[in-house]
Amino acid sequence: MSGQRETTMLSRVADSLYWMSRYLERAEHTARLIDVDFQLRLDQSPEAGAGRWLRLLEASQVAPPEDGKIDAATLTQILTLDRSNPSSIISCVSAARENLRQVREQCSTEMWEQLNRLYLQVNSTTSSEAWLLHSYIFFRAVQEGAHLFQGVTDSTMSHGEGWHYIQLGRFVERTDALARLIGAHFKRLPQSPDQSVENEEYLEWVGLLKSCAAFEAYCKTYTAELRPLRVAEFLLLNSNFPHSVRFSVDMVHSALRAIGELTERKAEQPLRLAGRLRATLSFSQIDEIMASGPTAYVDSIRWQCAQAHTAIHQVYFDYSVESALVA
Amino acid sequence: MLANRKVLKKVFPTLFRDYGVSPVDHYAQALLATLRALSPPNASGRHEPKVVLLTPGVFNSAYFEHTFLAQQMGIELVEGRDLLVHENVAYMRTTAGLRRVDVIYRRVDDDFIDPLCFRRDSTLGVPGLFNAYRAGNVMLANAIGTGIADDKAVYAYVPAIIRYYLGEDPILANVQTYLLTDRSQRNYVLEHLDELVVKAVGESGGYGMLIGPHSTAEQREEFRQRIVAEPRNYIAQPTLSLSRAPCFLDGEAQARHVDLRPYILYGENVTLVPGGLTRVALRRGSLVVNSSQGGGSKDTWVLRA
Repeated sequence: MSGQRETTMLSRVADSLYWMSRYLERAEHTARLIDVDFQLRLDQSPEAGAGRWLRLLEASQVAPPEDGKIDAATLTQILTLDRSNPSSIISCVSAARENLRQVREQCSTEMWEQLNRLYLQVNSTTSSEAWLLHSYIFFRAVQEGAHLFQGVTDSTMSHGEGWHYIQLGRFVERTDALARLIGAHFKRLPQSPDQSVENEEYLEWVGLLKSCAAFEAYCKTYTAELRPLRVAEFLLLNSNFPHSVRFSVDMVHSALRAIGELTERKAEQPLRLAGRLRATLSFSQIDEIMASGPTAYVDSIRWQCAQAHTAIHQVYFDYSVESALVA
Repeated sequence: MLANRKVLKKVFPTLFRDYGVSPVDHYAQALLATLRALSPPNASGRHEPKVVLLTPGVFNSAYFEHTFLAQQMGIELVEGRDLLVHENVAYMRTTAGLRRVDVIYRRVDDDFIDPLCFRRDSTLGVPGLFNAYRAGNVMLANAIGTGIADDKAVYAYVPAIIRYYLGEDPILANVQTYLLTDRSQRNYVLEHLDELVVKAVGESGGYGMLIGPHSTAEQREEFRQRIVAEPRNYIAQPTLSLSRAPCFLDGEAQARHVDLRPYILYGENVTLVPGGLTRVALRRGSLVVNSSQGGGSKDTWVLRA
């Protein structure tokens, strides 16, 4: 053993940081989805939104109401302030804070204060008709709060093992959420995906891009002419845009590589699984994906992502005694 | 103690420069050295024994102190679920695998420390820890059973303990302490309840106390009955006139009763920290200094000669 102080991180601490980060990413994602929906509603007739709302519920893993009927107010309520829904914004922010509280001494004071501030803000919000009318302010605040937390984290916390678990949580969650959202959108495969879309359809595709914070970045790459094929290519395979699946998987992979080096467990299962997923995305062609069915493709990504998540748990957080007697 | 000093340094930096106050900042380091010196007979063999602080968790009222001490010492703050015992060796669960633990500074009570040995319903402890301790593979500080020193009746025997083990007379005299299991002492106490302080042996925090001179006839009667029913449960001492120190309260200097808690670490050597916690009874005239009853505290100085 070298003379340097060995760095040790308790599994419980790593687990809490990972989940804190996942929950916060989920809250931010949900806030963006509803925010975009709120903006789209302004341009559409009330009937046109219903399909999208069901898609939103599906993308948020909430079971749709039995009669299949849903309106904007109910949707907003379920996804934001409904504590009985574990993936509502209020539930996610509370869970993120609870996780960070358990390992309070592992993060910087600035991080704790920022997350606590967001929590207090979300928690003091009560639903009302007036609130619903102006709820976009709330969604913006949640997104900004989460962004601020990320910035504070990056600039006040050592970029050591703990920080990598935060990165890992964020991008595992993002990979899964993006894949789910894209999957829900491509269920109805457009007739000719390489043709530009118009009118009502156009709004839906703008909505998808905006839900991934990707509209401006897409326009810079492909101009404002929206073709489903290009949207899919951009959101799945672009390597530079932070809300693309490929970018997220790259980040998962590099976080796992760093953790592998720090814990001296390089050849472990999570890194191999993430590496395979990364290779899949690096070498995929969008034509082939569209030809063989984009939903099957994103399902496979989600499945591989879930496998990596399970492996992370088994290797770093919750391993058996026999497998881990090292020193 | 450390927090008091930090605040006072911030408010009156010049006092420290001019008076030559002995620093107490090395307390954490001294505590760590003391804990390391406890390394068990069958230590893991690395250079430094691995020391951890075992806390009951975020819901404990002293959790802040636990995180503070762990941070100051640079050791892991663990909960029961972070530790496990395999073949009588204690490990902690880290992301790099299981790491052997040599010394546990435990802030979990005896009763809860090992559900296999003590309370079965404890989720704060580590199953099998007592066996690991018995096998000499891990050390606990304080050792299991040291809680007996919290029994106030033990205090009465301290001079006898010193004479027996050290063969010398105590340098500091004890406060006269009456054991109520002894008939003549009990009779004396029952006749002089209005002069004495009666304390329950198992209580702390200033609870379960009768302060004779400040008591009512009913309170004395209540304690008389309790003493007669369970004499082993109580001790009595003369009412001490505690020292008083000036305190700045409500905009003026006022006198309040104080007592002193020294910090003594006993590992390879005995380390006496040149400072301590002066506890203050904030209510005028009160003799109860315990923080759980609204007592305050003061920074305590030892001046360099």
